[in-house]
Amino acid sequence: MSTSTSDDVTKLLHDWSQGDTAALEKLIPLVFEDLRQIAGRLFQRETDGHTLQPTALVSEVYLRLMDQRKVHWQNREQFFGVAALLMRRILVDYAKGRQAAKRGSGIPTVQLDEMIAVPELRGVDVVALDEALTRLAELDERQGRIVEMRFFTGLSNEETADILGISVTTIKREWRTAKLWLRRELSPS
Amino acid sequence: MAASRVSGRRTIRGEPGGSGGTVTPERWQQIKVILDEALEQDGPERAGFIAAACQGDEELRREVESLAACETEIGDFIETPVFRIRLDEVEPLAVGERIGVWRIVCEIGRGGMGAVYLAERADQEFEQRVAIKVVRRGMDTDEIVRRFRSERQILAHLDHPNIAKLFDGGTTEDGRPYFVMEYVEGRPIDQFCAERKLAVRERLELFRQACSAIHFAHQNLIVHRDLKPGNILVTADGVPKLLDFGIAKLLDPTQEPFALTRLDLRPMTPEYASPEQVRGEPITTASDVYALGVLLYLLLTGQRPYRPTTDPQALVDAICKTEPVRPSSAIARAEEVKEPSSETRLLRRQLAGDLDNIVLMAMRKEPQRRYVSVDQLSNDIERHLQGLPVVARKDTLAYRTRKFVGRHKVAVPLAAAALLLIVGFSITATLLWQRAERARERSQAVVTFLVDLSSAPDPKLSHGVDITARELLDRGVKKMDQSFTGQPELRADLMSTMGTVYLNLGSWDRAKQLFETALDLHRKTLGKNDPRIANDLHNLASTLRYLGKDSAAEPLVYEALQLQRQRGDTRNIEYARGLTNLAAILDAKGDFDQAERLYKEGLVIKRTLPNVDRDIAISLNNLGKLAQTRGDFPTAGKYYRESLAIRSKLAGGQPDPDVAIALNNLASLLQDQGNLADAEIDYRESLALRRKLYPGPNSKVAGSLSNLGNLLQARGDFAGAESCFREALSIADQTLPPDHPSRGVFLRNLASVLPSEGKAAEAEPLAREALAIFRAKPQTPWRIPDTESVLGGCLTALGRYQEAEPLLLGSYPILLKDKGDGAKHAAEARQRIIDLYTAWGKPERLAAYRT
Repeated sequence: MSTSTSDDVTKLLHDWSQGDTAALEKLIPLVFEDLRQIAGRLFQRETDGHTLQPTALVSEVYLRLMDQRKVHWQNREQFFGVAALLMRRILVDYAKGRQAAKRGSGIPTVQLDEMIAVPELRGVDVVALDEALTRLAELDERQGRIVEMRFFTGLSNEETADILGISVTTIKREWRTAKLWLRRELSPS
Repeated sequence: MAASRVSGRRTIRGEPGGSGGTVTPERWQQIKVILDEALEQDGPERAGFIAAACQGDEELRREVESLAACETEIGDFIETPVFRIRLDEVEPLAVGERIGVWRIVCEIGRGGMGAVYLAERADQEFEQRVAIKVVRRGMDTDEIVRRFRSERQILAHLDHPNIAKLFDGGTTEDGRPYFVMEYVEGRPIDQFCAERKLAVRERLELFRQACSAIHFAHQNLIVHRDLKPGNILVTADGVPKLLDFGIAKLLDPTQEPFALTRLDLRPMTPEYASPEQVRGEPITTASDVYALGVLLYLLLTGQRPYRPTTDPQALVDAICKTEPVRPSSAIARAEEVKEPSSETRLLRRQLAGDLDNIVLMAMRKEPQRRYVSVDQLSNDIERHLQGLPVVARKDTLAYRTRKFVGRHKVAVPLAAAALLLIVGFSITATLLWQRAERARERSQAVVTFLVDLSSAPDPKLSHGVDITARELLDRGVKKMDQSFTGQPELRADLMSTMGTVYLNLGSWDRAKQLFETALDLHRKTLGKNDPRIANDLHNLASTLRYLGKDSAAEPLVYEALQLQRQRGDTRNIEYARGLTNLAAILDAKGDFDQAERLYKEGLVIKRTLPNVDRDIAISLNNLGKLAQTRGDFPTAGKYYRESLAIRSKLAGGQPDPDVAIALNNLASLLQDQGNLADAEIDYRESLALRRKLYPGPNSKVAGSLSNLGNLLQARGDFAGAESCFREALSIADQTLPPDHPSRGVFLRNLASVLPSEGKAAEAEPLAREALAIFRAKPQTPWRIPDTESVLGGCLTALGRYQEAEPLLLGSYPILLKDKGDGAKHAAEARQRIIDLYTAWGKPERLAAYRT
């Protein structure tokens, strides 16, 4: 891990937190590079020959992100927004890369080493979910964010409520209807 | 992929196969409200509710209905998150929040399981700033809390001026453990050196201070495991402080040793990770030695030992396989193509040699080949600073390829190494021995290393020790006598270890003294049942055997074996060795049946143990020798060949003392089988090996010479034989006490060949001297008649037939009846009788001795 990468990440996160949306586009590949390196290292540590668990991998990325504490976040909502979005982008881009590789087509995306176990997400098509979630956010931005936080960062209803500054009841309601909507979107037509 | 579900901006397609209308954000809010309420209703009521709520808006109704219908298939859809964030990880304690008497000032760091805050006293009693480490909220699982407590416990052990102190600890209001530490305001050690532009000497001194902290931790059975500049801060006063024992390991036998859990999967710093660390192998104090090597590299050169790479595999390869560029060369590298400045040239000169070697020794790939302790590393730097020779030297392999190295160049550092090992060992030994089985293994490893070192097959090594180490070792013993007077048990442990070193050096008298004292002290300080007593007994017995005192050794071996049997401690190598030792004593006494039984019993145990091939080869060898003595040549050949195969494999192509023994024994068997030509080849090979292994006067070389001489004599090459025997005797004169049986054998051999060359007058006193030796130490009774026969031969050649006759006639029947090797010499003895009567002109007496 070269320190320059880390510094770049810090700067881009900072820029993004200050409202520079282009910074995110630059940030993603850097985080991917990080991810790839960490994956390689983690893989080395797996002595029993098992494939790497995606949670361990994502945890690493997350911890890297946590290291960027020098960034002054305007508020905690923004910080968690970044965290959730990064997780989502990482997983989706990776899944896209896999699908592209399977089909032999060349979707230009950051390739991860094949040795990383694919997050199967319990039968959920991550790419389709991502697209549906994007559409949901167009209908209801807050609802989209709730799903993002709950699914991609594992925050509880209570935690999400706390961060977004709304009631737990609201969170539960929004979560329930969002799930139904997404479920229908992902159903084979 | 849901390629078909393309939606327009801010609109969305309705129910699949539905009206095809679009949903706007406003419409969605409407749908959501009805849907949400509908979900509270069950079965038939739900449909009615929806119809009523939609107030005739069919499109709305269909939309809500279709979404509500999905409830049956929802299951745990997206309920399990892909990743669970820890809220508290990013929710630090608020500034001003109180923990105990402390008030949070700001967050200063974040580790794998907790955050560190700068805090000050809230009660204003006095001004004090501290660092407080708190377990993260939500992370207080049993495992995390256990590890956190372990760190606290570790810090509590470590009261050292160069380690951040533990002040206090407790539990926060919401139940999370925390502890309060000394707040260190300082710079990472590498930056400190760079900013202050410290000279090499100053850097080394600073580094040594840091080493003292780490050594102290090791003495407390703590391995840091994450040494890097960021964890060694130097205060403005220039005092280094070791921080962050977050992944430090307390060597505790009750815990699974070094098990890396998932929780260890926090970012570490691969540049400082040792090969065993990146491979996930057990991490020991040697891993800290490695990290210190990397750190020293960085401090001296300003560079990391391996080229920066973004490819983790490349880094792992570099760590595990690549030899780092020598620090002195790394400096040149940093200069790129430019002409090196005078400063660089000076620095390069300062680093070349000792410092290069010290850094690289600390960074060796194999943990067991690094410095044995941090203290040893630190001492070596001190020696360098004082202009004394250092322990570190270039890698052994490189060493071996060198054609010739001046004796003293090697001898001095090697002897120093032996001494330092012992002294280093002494400090850690107490704790290690007393507190953990794991640690016991480690100290055992040190002992093994010591012992291996002193019996190293590398001729330069053993030679060096032979010549010069004794004085240093003697000093070590003296120092030990003075230093550990109040710790008899430790002293005994050390004496035992040193005894082993002396034993391997062939300083048997010194070894004997040490083992005797160790045994005495151990008997006084330990319970009867302690395995160390049995070990001392075994060691002393082995030493006594080397000294030719089998009869004194025998009862000790019995006692040791008895002790081990009482403890039920018979499935181990010490017991098996004891059996082999006892067997060898009985073997030498001619009690072959008993000896064979014990050899085999020992072998059976050894075959069940791991990593004792060398011992197995010894058993096989001795069984081979026994079969050979009994005349069972095919069985002997079988044992010898297996022994030779094992030893050759162990030697891996390097000159090896055990291979030399195996070749020698095989040669003697070939000789017995009458295959003199092949026997000569093997004898010569064995001799050549031993000459390589032991360039100085050495009893093993002497033994080979004697054997080769016997063979040459049998082949009629008397001059060749004489020269072999003379050299053997000369070596014995330099290395053995005058009354040693081996010296007796060489005297006897020379006396037996000289008459064939017309030098009987010279031979007679030699034979008489040999006879006197054997009569004084009759462990091998047949040696007496055999030598009498040789003396008789000398007297025959001198024409003193009447003196010769009783010697020759008396000895022959005894040899003939001997159950051991004596019988082999009966034929020679008979030939001498024939020679006597032939020379004397009494053919009538001859008849009885003709076959």
